[in-house]
Amino acid sequence: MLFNSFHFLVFLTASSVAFYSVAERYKQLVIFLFSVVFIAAISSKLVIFTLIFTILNYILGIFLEKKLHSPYRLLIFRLSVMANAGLLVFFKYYGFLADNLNSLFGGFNAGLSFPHLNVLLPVGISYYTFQVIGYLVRINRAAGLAEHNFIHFANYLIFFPKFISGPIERSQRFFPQLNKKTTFVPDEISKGLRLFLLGMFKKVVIANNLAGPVVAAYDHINTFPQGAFVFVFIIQAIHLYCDFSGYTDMALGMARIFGIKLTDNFNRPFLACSVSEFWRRWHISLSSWCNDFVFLPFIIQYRRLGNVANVAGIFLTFFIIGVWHGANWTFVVLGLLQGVAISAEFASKRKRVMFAQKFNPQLVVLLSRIYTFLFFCFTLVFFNARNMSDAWYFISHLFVLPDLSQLSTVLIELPARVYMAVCFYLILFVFELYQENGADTGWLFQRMPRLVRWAGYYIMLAFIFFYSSAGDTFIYLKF
Amino acid sequence: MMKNYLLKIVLFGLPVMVFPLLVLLIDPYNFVNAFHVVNDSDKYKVIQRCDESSPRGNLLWKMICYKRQPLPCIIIGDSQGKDIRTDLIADITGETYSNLCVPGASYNTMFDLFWFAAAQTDLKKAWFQVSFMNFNTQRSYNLFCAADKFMKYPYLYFTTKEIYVDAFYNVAWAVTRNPQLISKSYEFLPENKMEELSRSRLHLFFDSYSYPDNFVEEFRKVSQYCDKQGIELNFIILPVYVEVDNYLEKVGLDEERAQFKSDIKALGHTIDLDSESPLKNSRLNFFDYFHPKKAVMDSLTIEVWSNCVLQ
Repeated sequence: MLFNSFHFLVFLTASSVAFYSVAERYKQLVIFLFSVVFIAAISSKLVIFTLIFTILNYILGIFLEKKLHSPYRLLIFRLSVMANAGLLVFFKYYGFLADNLNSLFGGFNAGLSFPHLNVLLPVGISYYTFQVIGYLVRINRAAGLAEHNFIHFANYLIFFPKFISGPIERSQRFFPQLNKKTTFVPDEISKGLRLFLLGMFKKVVIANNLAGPVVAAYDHINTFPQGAFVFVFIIQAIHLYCDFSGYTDMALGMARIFGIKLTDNFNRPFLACSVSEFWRRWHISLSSWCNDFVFLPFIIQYRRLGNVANVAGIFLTFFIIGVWHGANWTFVVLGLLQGVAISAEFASKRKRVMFAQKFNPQLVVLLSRIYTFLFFCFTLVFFNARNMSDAWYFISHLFVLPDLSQLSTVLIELPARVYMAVCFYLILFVFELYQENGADTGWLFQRMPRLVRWAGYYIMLAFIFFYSSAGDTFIYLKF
Repeated sequence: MMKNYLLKIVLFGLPVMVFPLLVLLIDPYNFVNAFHVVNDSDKYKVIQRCDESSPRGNLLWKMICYKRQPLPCIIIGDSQGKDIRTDLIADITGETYSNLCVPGASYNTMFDLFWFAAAQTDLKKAWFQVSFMNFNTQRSYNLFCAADKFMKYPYLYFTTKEIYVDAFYNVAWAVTRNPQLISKSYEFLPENKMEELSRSRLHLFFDSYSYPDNFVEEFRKVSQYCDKQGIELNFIILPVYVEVDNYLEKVGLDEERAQFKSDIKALGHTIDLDSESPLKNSRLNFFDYFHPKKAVMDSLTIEVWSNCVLQ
């Protein structure tokens, strides 16, 4: 049941009507039940898995809280984190690790062999595992209490708007929202619906229409016209951004209907002036989680090493961010490339600032944004490629001077909807530029006459409807 | 407060309701069959308007017609057989047939259509129009699901954009009679484009080929079912332009085609019209290399079913 399906719209309507029809004390139960139904629509086995996962972690949280002053606290905490992380590693990386270890041991004739297990990755596991680890860390640090209300705890992990692809919520931000009274506020519902509509527009009209050339390029990399790699190189970033931020907007919009404000994952990332700034604007819930639970503890632990600890911390953090996306060497490279860029930025900061002062600040900002965007596009080759040799093929053919006649043929043959999607993205980008400069475009839109606003909604709905397609899925669903 | 808000949402939703109302009123596939604002022949013309819409449209139209009026004699096949006129057959044999040949139908589509028809009524005669062009493991897609989903989930008829587009084209065609609206299919291509398309289809059908043993196996199941139920099972292989034979020889698929024909013949009574004949040598007898023109199809229909009567 994808967010952009008719079934889901019926489901969302039913769940929100039920939510506002019941008494306050049953509201969280309604969310829980609808979340279970949502997961059951994906797979009945997944319901069993997530419920067991939820119950075990609920008990672990309370147990850890009770043993906070016991000498066994650290042991219990470490075992809890290892159990959760181990489960994630098993489901997500077992095949990859087994393959690589088998080939390693095979080379030494060590006689060791790991069997191949056909295990399916439970949907959303990367998201709720990180959430639960964050929750356990807070209890261990005595920075927060365990949640004793099972329904609230379950909603923290399986709340359906964020179940499949996040955002990765923090317990200290999520639980207080469940305890406050949820009244029917029309403005909030409208804001939620607007966000949902915008997200769906980004996903269906922009991302889905750009998916064709991107998927074609990486699926048929050897036969794809070489001249068109440059085009794919650029649009793959827009494609991924509109796909994931579209999903996030829809999740945030839905949660808002239920009176819950989720963490926004994106803050105009393509306006970032450096790679490090980019990661403060892109997949914020993941990067901030890794910052708080990997980078900071690491550099505190090894602070005596000074800058070496910083650089090692950066590499470790981005290695985790890279492999979080999946078990493939391409993701390892994706993470390490970010590490290289951010470490270089960290080491050269003073010199760069001094050098930049010689130029027009606006020019510096523009060039910095272009550099950051192009670097991200470059690393996306590793995100999209199936393996390292495909990624290398893409990169090595990217800089081959395109055959202009071939390129023009490819561009002419592209469906008009691809160009339409690019145009829509450019409009969106202009809005983001205004927002970056402090303009509240949402507020300005709200001040327009109702007729204009509704016409805008109808136009968006019409585009969504006529550009929807049955096979749509979300990229970040597979993580 | 909540009541006012819901009222506002209903008000906002009213223009959106225009779409399902349009579908209900125009009913491009006679799914609801309550209103007949546009007549059936116009609707059927609109269904064929372009190559993207005709496979789904034809299949849905034919399935709805068949579900409403199931006949014991059926012809199942792909685009080659879609021009077999059942009125001609009725004149010759006195039997009313339902032509369930669908452009773009793969063998998987044909099998599902057969089981669909068998579920609707007690069949008496089943004709399979079979062609080598689709007898390929690589062509294992199934159009049946695209139409069957409307049967399983009727609300999809009112929420699927393609149905709205068809409803819109119905209105546009009924009002303007602009021939461009209904002539986007390959059949209307100019001569030079048709040659280009024909050659590209040779590559499409045969460049990546593997013999589909699973199709033969599925035909055996059909054959066993027909034997058990007392259904007369027949096969018909329609002619293709000689250029197809030359191409098959060139790419070394001659043996596979011979195997195809012998496998089919082993399953039941088969009429092979694709053997050497002057008809195959004239380009004028075919739209592209694979589809005989309507006049040719009429003469073949008369020939085949007259012989059946004589037998």
